[in-house]
Amino acid sequence: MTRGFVISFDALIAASMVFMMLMAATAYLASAKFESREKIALRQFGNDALAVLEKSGELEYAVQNDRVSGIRQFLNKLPHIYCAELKVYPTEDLNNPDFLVLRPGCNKNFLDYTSAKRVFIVDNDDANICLAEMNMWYRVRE
Amino acid sequence: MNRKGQVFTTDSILALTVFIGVLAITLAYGISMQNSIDRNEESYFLKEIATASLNQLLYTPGTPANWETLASPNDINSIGLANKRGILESAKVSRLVDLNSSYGDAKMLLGAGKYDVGIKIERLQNGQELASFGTFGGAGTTVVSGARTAHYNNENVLVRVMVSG
Repeated sequence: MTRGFVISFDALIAASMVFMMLMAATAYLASAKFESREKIALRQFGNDALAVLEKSGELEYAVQNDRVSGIRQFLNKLPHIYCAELKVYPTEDLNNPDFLVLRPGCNKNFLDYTSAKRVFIVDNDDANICLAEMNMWYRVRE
Repeated sequence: MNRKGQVFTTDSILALTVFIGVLAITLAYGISMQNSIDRNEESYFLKEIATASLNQLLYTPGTPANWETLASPNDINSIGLANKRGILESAKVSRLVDLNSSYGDAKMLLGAGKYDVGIKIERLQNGQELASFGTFGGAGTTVVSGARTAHYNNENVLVRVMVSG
């Protein structure tokens, strides 16, 4: 007498498919992160940093005197997890920055990369309008 | 021979064992996933509180705008430290430090609700603490923090907020 087997070939295929779907669902759920949220926080930090640099007069001083030591010091003192790069452009040429300051020891991490911009006025002989661009990302281990 | 069908055969025992095994694994996995979701949700919620508190402190003067002159926390609707965006007012910072004595009321005004909140204002140049409010790293199991730069008493500062729950 031939007895029926519960685990037949069909059942094996069905079980394999269920298992694969379960694995796919698990992998998808495990990959879900709050990345966009981290980016928003980073951009807010960048916007505030630009506001502080403008209101403390560091941006204007740097353009007037072509000295970025104050900005460099500011970037160096930010919390360790933040990496930042500041570019200042004259508004008549947004392709070539007047200067660029990069926080030392920061490799670019384009996964969490945000950009904040702020326009400010430099009081020279006539009022010049400049654009500051703060690019920020989280520090990655080297 | 008159053989009667047996419900409790070897096949059935095997099938039941497999079924119970799969059920147990599914339940354990479901519970583990639920715990993970709960932890993420709480962390997400605490981050929301930290971000909202920082925005409130750094971007608004509070409500009413002269809240720092009011004696009772009951007369204050919300706490803010800025007279302009990102520029902190000394009198408001001092009053916030005074509100340590009414911590429970003050954290409500910051939108922290049942969670513990701590605020520190540090000199950006050397990390020296200039003002502090609330508790840091309370009894809660989940702790999140946020930090922003601001301008206070003609120097650049870092405002840190820590929320635990």
